Amino acid sequence: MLAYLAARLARMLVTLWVIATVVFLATRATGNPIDFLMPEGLDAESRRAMISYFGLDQPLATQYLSFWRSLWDGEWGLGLIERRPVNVIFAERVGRSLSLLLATLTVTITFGVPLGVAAAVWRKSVLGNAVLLAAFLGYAIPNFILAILLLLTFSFSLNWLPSAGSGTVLHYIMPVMALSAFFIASLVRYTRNSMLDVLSQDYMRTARAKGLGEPAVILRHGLRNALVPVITVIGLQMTTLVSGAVVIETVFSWNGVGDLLVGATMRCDYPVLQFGVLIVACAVVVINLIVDLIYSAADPRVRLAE
Amino acid sequence: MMSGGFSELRDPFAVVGLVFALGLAAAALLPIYWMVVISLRVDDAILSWPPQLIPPASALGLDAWRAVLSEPRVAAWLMNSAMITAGSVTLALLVATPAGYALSRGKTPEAAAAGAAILASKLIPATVLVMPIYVLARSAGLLNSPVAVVLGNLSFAVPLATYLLKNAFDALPRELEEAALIDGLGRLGALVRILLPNIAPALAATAVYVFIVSWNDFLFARTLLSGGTSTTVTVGAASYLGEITVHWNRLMAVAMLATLPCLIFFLLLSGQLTRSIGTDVH
Repeated sequence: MLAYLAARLARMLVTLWVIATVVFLATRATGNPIDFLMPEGLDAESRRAMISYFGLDQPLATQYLSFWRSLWDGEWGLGLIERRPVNVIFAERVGRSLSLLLATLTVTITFGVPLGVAAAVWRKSVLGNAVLLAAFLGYAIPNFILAILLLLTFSFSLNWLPSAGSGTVLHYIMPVMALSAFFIASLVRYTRNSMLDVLSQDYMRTARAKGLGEPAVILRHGLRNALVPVITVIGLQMTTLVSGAVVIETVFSWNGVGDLLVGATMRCDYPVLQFGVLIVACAVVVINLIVDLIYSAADPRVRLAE
Repeated sequence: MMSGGFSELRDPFAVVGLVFALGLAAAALLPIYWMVVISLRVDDAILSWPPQLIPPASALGLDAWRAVLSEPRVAAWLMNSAMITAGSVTLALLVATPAGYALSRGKTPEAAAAGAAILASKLIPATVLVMPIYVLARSAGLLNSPVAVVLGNLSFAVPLATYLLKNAFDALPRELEEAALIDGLGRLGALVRILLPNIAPALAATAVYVFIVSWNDFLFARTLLSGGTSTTVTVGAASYLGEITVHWNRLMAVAMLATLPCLIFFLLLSGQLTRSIGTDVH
C-alpha cells in the first residue's frame, strides 16, 4: 500500500509540474501577455513598466526559474483588481470552494450510486423508470439554467432558501443541487449499465444458490464488482465538476475561487489568473488522488498491478 | 417498459426506494413545471407570496413567448448555439473516431503514450484551458468567432470522445475486421463499412455527450464571444438577469428554448443509447 501511495504521489507531482509548465508557456509563447491582457491603447511608458514589473523582459529560462522561485516562496504578486497579494486573495476563498466541491462530490455519490443500482434492479418497474426520467432531465438541462430555475423556485417564489452567499448549510442546498444534477444523472446511467452487466454474471447466481438474501447478493456481490468502472468515471468527471463550479459560484455569489476566476478573466487580472489556474489544477489532481485511493480500496487488483 | 408494474411493492426495501425515487422525480420536475408556468404568465405577480402553483387561467398567455420570439437577438443566439454545437459534434466525432480506432488497434509504445497523454489531458479542467485559448484565439483573430468556441469545446470533448470510442472498438472482436480484410476491403473500408455500424450505439452516446456539453457550455461562450447578438442562448439567457427589471416570464421562455434542443436530441438518440451498455462513460 505504501509503495502504491508513493507511486501515486510521484505521478501527481509530475502532473502538477506539467500543468504549471503548460500554463507558464501558454501565457508567454504566443507573444507578450501584456499586449493581450492589458486594455487597448496602453501608452508605451506604462507598457514598459508592466513588462518589467512581471519580469517579461527577461530570457524565458530566467522567467521560468523565477516563476518557480516565487511559487516556492509564496510570493505570488499583487492582484491587479484588488491590489492585494494573490495568495491572500486565494486563501480567503479556497476553503469555500473546496467545501462546495466536496459537498457536491458527496451528494453525487450518495444519490447517484444507490439510484443507479435501483434503476438496474427494478429496471422493468415504475421505480426504475422514475429514476431514469429524473436522470434524463438532470442530464439535459444546462446547469446554469437549472441554477436560475432553482433560484426562482426555492428562493424568489417559495422563499425557502437564501439566494446568495455561503454562510450556512441552507446556502449549500441550491449550488450543490445545480452542480450535482448532471453528475448524479451520469452516475445513475453509468452505475445502472455497470450493474446490468454484473447482474447477469455467473457468480451472482452462485451467491443466490448458496442461500444469500437478495440485498446481500446485490450489494456485496453485485455492487462491489459494478463499482470499479464507476469509480473511474467519477475520476474522469472531476475536471468537468471543477469547471461547472465556476459558473455556479458566479450565479450564487459564492465568493469562491470560481467567481474570482471569472472576474479575473473578464478584467484580465493576469497574476490572479495564472495562480488561480494552478490552484484549480491542484484541486483536480488531489481529488483524483483521493479517487484513486478509493479505487484501490474497492479493487485490490489495482494495487497489485502497480 | 412498465411491464413489472408495482409488483416489487411486496418488498419493504422497495417501498422506501419507490417513495424516494418518486420524490426525486418530483423534485426534478418541479423546477421544470415552474419554468413552463412562469413562461406562460402575463402578469408581474410571479414573485408574489404565497406562490400560485396553479395560476388562474386569466393570468396565462403567450405574451412572454411572443416578446421573446420577436427579439432578433434570441434568434441569433439560437443560431449561434446551433452552429457551435453542430460544429463541435461533427469535428469531435471526425477526430475521435480514427483516434479511438488507432488507439484500440495499434499496440505500439507510441500508441500507448498517445493514449496516456489523451487521458491525462482530461485532468486539465476547462477553467485552466480558457485563458490559453483566449490568448490563442486573440492572436489568431478568432476572438468573437464561433470557431473559437468550437475549438474550446473540442479541447475537452475530444479526449473523452476518443476514450469512449476506443472502449467501443476494444469490445469488437478482431476477427470481424480480419474477415473484412480477407474479403478484400482495405483498412479504411473495414472501418467505415464494418466497424462503424457495429459501434453505432457508442457513436450515439458520444454524440449526445458532445452535444450536451457544447450546447450547455457557458464558460467558453462567455469568455470568447463578446455578447450582444454574437453569443449563445445559454449566455444570452443570463443577460436578462442583468436588466433593471427582470422579466421572469421572458427569462423562463428563453430558458426553455435553451433546454428543449438537448431534450429532443437525447430523445431522438435514446433508442441507440439503451443499447450502448458498458460503452458510455457519462
